[in-house]
Amino acid sequence: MNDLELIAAFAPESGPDPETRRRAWARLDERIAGQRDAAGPARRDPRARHRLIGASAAAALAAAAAAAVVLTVGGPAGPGAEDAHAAVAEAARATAASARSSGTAVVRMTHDGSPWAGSTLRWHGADLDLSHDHPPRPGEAASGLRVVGGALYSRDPRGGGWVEMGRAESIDPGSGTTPAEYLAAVEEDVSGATLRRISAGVQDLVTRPGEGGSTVYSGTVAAGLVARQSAVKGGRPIRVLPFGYVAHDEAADPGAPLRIDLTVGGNGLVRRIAVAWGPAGSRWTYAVDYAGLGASAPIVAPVGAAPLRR
Amino acid sequence: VQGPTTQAGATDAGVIAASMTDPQAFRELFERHFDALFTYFARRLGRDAADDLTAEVFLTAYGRRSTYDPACPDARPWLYGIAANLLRRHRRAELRRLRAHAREAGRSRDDGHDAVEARLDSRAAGPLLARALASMPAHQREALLLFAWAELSYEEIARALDVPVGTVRSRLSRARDRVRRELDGPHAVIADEPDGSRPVGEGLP
Repeated sequence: MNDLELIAAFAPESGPDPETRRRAWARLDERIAGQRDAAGPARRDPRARHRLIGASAAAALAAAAAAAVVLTVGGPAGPGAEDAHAAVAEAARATAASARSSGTAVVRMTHDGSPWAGSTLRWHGADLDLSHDHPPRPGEAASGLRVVGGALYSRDPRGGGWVEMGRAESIDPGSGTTPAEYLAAVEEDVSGATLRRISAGVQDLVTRPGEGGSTVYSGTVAAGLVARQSAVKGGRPIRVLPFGYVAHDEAADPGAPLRIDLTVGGNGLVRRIAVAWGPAGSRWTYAVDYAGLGASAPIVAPVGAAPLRR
Repeated sequence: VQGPTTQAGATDAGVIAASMTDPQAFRELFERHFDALFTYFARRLGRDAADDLTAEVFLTAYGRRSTYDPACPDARPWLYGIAANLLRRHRRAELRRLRAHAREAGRSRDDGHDAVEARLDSRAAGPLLARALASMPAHQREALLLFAWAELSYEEIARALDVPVGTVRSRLSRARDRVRRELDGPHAVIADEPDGSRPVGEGLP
């Protein structure tokens, strides 16, 4: 074999499966239909009505899901795109309002299908409970902290029991690990800027019905809108994903397009944000699942917490 | 040059022209070229990325179809040119993929694999090729893979990349030199194509 024959035979791949081709055509077909809509109502595609159904607000999202349509709205400037963007923005606004008082966020990060990192954060007013619970390490208990009524509790890494650490104010301010800073992160990531930024920046939105009456909005978003620069380490900027996880590969490149799925529940609140990037063999996923927004139970002090100086 | 035709005899250019008044006619272009573009992306970046990127090529092509040069009956250079632009955003991912493959080269040698036999076998030579592809400048890799995988001629690559044909020749020549050096075997010394055209009914030169 000569060099060109070897290259031609290198990394062979089969063609797309029919479902891949169908999905791609559906995206293009919707773009074509969208441009016909823009040309005038006389040639309006019947599917355009579904775009209008999904347009207004959270309540309409459920109707759009029930209609069980696959809805593609093209690029951000395409006809119909504004409707879906408005729906996502409305879901972000409603989620932010509900998340202010209480909620739970479960964060999971995987690399090539294996758990990479994860945590569960619950908050209720000024109280919070954070557990770094994933992936489990042999012989190591789950780590975490809890703040209740201004008192700080931490997991003992040796035995897993709780230790009463004193007043929350005693943690070094500016360390990024004070309760106030965690709550500020919640405010940023759940109740405020992060969700607004992502929902405003997502492109090529495609919607589909999800489980339990939810609607999934899929598209791409610039990595810089998801992972923000937070620090400089070794002379290089470090970018972090919501809830403080360091971004790797494309996610650390602000201009790289990341695949994003925003799941909006039938109640109009964002239920899940899932981002994926990287090729097969180095595939990353990052997902945040929200639950109990505005309706979570109060957080209570751990029973039997040992004083720090015992 | 004769472009691909339908049973009705329309070239790609004809299909694109028809889609200006009947947008659904664009589906013909999609059906003709989707599989080849998907496979090209899949070979370079994997199937997950190919899924999105191939769809994006056609969305872009549809949006820009009014600028298509009707003097070019075959739309492949145009479509692969769009693909090349999209691939620029994924260079790091492609390099990671190639480097991961290239790391297998050392292992094969450590295992006592016969190096000459390895070079003669396309699968075993994969890591060496990956190393060569990863080590060459992106514009050389682009030209080489458009030639070897997309099966475009020199002229078509020049149109796809919007560079002179002479530049394509030079890039391909340098890219192949690098590949040959990596393979480093007597079988790799072959003649360049006299004009860059791809003989019908024959394999690679």
